[in-house]
Amino acid sequence: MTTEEDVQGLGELSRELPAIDLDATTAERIARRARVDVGRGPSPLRFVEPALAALIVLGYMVWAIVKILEALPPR
Amino acid sequence: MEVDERAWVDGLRRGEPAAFDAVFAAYKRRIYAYLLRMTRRKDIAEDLLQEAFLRLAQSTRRLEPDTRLGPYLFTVAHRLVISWVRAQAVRAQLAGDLPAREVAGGERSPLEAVADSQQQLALERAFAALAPAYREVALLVGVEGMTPTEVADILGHRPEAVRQRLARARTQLAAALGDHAPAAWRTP
Repeated sequence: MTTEEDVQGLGELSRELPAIDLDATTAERIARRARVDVGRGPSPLRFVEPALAALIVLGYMVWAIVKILEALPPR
Repeated sequence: MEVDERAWVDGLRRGEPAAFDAVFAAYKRRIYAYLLRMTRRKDIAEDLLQEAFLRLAQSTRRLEPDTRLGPYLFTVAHRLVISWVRAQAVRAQLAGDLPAREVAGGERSPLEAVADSQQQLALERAFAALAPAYREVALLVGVEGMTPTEVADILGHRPEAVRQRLARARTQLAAALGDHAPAAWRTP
């Protein structure tokens, strides 16, 4: 069977599927919530967690390098 | 791209709430139906719908002028479904490999509740029984009228892989529907 027959048959079946829609109250709630963010971009708070994690990792690496240098025999 | 859609994208890029309202009105039903048929949970579908439109709202300034909103929103929705499925799998493992929550026996799923006839019920059940990867392709091609190439772009797969999934979805749907399958699918 060809892809075209698959597509055609699926189109035929899908027309028989019941219509699905959101209730008006939920739709309005979602639209109202999202509309506030239009043009604003994501919250800068989302960068806080990765920045903290990066600082901790960097601090640990610096500490580890210092410890390695301390352990090396003096020249 | 249609004229309306281009105007909406221009409006979104300028941060106009009216453009967002128009896009929401045009796409909410389609994205919600896709999410509901993929998750089979009304509450989850609503949450993911909100998240999809929040992401659109938060990225309006970064939209390209030629952005096609349908593929854009379905790509976001697809990624949200993938994340949800993964989270479900992790949660199931943490809960001692219990199966993910399904609709309890006897209780009708939100999809079955909207079916008006036995035929629609059988159809919803046949789609629901498909593995998510096949169901997704069947919905995007069948309900949304996308081509396998467009679906491949959304899913991040090769078109050939989409065609294979389509063929498997057809085989399973034809088996589940029996005499109700499209005539072209029935083997003589």
